[in-house]
Amino acid sequence: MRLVPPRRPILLALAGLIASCSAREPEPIALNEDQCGLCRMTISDARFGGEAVLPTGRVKKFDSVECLLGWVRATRVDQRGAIYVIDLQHPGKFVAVDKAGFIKDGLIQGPMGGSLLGFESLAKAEEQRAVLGGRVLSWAQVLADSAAGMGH
Amino acid sequence: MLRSAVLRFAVLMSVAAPARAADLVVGTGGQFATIASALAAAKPGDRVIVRAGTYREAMLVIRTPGLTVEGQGWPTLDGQGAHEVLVIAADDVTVRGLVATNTGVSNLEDRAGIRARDVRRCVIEGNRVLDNLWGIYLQRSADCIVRDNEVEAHGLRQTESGNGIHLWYSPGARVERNRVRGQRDGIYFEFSPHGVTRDNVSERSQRYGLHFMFSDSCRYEHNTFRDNNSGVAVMYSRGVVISDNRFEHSWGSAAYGLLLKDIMGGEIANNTFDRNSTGLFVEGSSRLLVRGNVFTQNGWAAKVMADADENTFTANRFSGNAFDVTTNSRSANSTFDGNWWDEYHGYDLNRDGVGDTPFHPVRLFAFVVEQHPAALLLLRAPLVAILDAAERVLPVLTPEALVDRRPLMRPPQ
Repeated sequence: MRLVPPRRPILLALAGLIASCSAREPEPIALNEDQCGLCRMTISDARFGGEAVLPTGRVKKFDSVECLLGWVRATRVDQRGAIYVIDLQHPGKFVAVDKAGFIKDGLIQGPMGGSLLGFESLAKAEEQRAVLGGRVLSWAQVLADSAAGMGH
Repeated sequence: MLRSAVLRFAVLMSVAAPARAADLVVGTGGQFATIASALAAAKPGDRVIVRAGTYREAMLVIRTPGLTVEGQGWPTLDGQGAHEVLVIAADDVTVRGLVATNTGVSNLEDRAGIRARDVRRCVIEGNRVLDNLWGIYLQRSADCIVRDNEVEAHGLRQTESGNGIHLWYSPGARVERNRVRGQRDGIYFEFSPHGVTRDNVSERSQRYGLHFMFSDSCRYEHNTFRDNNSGVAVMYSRGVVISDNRFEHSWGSAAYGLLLKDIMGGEIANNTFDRNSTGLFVEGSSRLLVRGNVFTQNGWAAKVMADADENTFTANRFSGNAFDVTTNSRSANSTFDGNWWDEYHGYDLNRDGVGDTPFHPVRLFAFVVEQHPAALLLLRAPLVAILDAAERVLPVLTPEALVDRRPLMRPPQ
């Protein structure tokens, strides 16, 4: 019976391979396990971050909107795939960036020390601005803003 | 003459000071029933003595400069799951001997057991900071001392834990002899340069035992980081000195004894990396001197990515690691010179203590695994051993620059 155990990791690895090949939806972030695809920090706060589902089916996870943005800016448009951001009000929930709203320089700091926060929609971001302050931006504006400022 | 005059002055001052400053006693047999009332009555330089007991008060804020708040018999300050416990909001305040507990959790507030906010020269020493969202939090507070505290959180869910000792825009701090357990990051420096972190034990963190970002010119010495979920991460800083620490037992796919990311200039000396998945991981970092460290029983002793350059490894000791060194590109160019490798089987004909043939620490197989992690399944396959041996004789795939031309015959002392 002692001979059986080695098989399990192989099965798991195969299952993982198959799963990752067919992934089109963003994959949930495993807190304190998954690493940020840009800064390599272990992701530990479900309120922040994002994910890219690459054209190859692989996913890249990020601990903050800043890191997601940094990766997007360094990656060719046709290789970015589908990009999602976490909704601050629903930790762990992904929203396609084009539908999302953002708050920059609000009261809450993300894992990279700055404040760039994701919300379900522009309307929700606008609503939260009353509490958190800062500026409301769309994804297009976030991109334009980072291109102009070169910062985070 | 001068010395005795100084001494006399010092004695005079120490005798004179308590005469002017008053002791305000809270609790059994004291003048005050609540800490808040004593804090409100205190004058600069006074001492508030808190006797044993449990105090369930609203958030306590110290606004009197030079005040000392001292617990006798471990009084418990209870945040009742609803708010921060104690906030230091004046310069030169000392807080000692208190138990600060039970801030409760919040998604929108970073509640701390003890917080220093916009102050200078605070001293937080010998406290027990237990089961809070965040432990001790220095916020825009310069030249503070945090020492001999016990900071521990358990029972919090992963998503609901903050850091044990957290510094944010707080330069010149000294963090010494604390014991931190079970928080998200045990000790975290963010935008806090010129700090010294010494003789702490940080263990069982949900993420990092020590984490620092954007904190230049800091020293980290004689600490023990043990059983932390992801080890220790040091990022985006210049001129750091990390010496005589122990990095122990960080296991997991994203766990590193010490992760260095974008560190420019500094020294990693005389540390022990023991039983980690990866002992030392170096990425995007340059001009580091890595010397006198001991790497034992790690999966990978050192992973040095190709974008790390001008780093020097010397007088280190590598033993019992599955892989000694690996990298992700043939163009990797860090320098290895005069290290001791237990895998080295060379000879020393002229008896100068240095092996006569070079040592290639990057096994072909380690290099393959770096590109194709699934290949790790073949670790013990005989073919792999043959390939490794062939590669050692005639390196064609592994990075040429990663070679130790002066491997030591004996471990350095």
